[in-house]
Amino acid sequence: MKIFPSKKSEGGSAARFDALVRPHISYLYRLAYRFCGNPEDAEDLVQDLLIKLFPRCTELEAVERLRPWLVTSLYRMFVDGTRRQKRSPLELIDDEVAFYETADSGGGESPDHELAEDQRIEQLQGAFERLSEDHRVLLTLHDIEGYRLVELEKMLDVPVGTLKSRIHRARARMRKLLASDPPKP
Amino acid sequence: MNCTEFNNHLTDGVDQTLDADTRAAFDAHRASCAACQAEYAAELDLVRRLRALPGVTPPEGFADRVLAGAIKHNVAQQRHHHRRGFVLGFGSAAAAALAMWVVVGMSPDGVPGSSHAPQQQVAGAEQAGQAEAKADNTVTRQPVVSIALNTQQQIRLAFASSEPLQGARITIRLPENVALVGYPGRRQLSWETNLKKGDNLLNLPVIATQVASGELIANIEYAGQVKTLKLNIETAAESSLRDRAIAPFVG
Repeated sequence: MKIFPSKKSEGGSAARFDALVRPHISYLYRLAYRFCGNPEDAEDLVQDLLIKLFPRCTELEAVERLRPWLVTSLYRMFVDGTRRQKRSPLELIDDEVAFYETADSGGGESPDHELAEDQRIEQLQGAFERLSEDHRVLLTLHDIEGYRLVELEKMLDVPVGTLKSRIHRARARMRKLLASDPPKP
Repeated sequence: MNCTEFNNHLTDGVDQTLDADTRAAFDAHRASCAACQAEYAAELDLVRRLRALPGVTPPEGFADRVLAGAIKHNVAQQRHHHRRGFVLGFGSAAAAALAMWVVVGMSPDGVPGSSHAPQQQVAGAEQAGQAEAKADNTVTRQPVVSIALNTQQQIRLAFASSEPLQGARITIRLPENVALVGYPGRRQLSWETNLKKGDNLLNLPVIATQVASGELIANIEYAGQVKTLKLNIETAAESSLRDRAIAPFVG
């Protein structure tokens, strides 16, 4: 489904924007989810990015490889947002008690090996969410999404040597977290 | 290659990005050193597990929703600029986004599970430049809270937003009769923050420093425009929190 308002000129730019960006939205959400660690902030991050990019539709059309460009924009917006939150002298609070329901297993019992695998994934995701934002971003882009260091150098504007040592530290931290919280038997 | 050098090349070794000579030395060391081999195996296992993490899929209709949100936000802003140029007060998009701004309550500080019922107040934000024009059938009165001298209280402000706002600026101006806990001597605080969709609550821990009446002013700025909430704070020698029924306001 394409979404654009009724007025002709607005509809034109909206349709162009839709065509350009729509193929990348699921991917951006996936990255945003890994960066933020929760679906609510991921949705907000992608929404904010699109709000910011819509007026730059013509500029987007001129970008040769749009996906890395969008990833860089998403990353910068995430970093800006994180810095801004850190500068806030008073924190907005979350007054609602969060609750999570266990996913429905669908009725059938999992075989042992599937259960063990589920526990390993859960453990991995738990450790990943406890990483610092910087480490999460790097492992998301490099280890999960497979961006090479030379690509990340351009995207994040960080020298390869620095990236390499940060990734080394991020992996070490991840392993330490995994070791401190082994999968439940 | 020794263990230190091996460790320096570990990331590249796991990523398979070493040149041929370094790779040969790296592998030779790995074959002769059990500790480094274990390190390599653990790192490789981690990366394989990370790469195999199940993909995250957005909720159904997510692309439609965020595209529509981006377009609606920008189109509304363009229309507003064309129609009115610069105005004080939130324009169409931001006004819709921050539909209501209320004081939701005040409670004694630091007393979890206190038997004191929080004093509930609801008051609307005044929209600069539009307040008179919007004097419709919604009745608002400036909210008043009372605090006993030398007592610490939490004043809670809520910003209800219908969409996420990045980089909204909050400014709090305090009257002379109260101080913000943790910021002695500061009469004004201003910072940027992100507002999520829905209710955003802000706790203001204040302490009454003199018996008087004053006005706390809270501004929220977004996209160059300002919304203001005023709150009378009365400080008395004794605790005498009063209930005042104030009509809800949708700004």
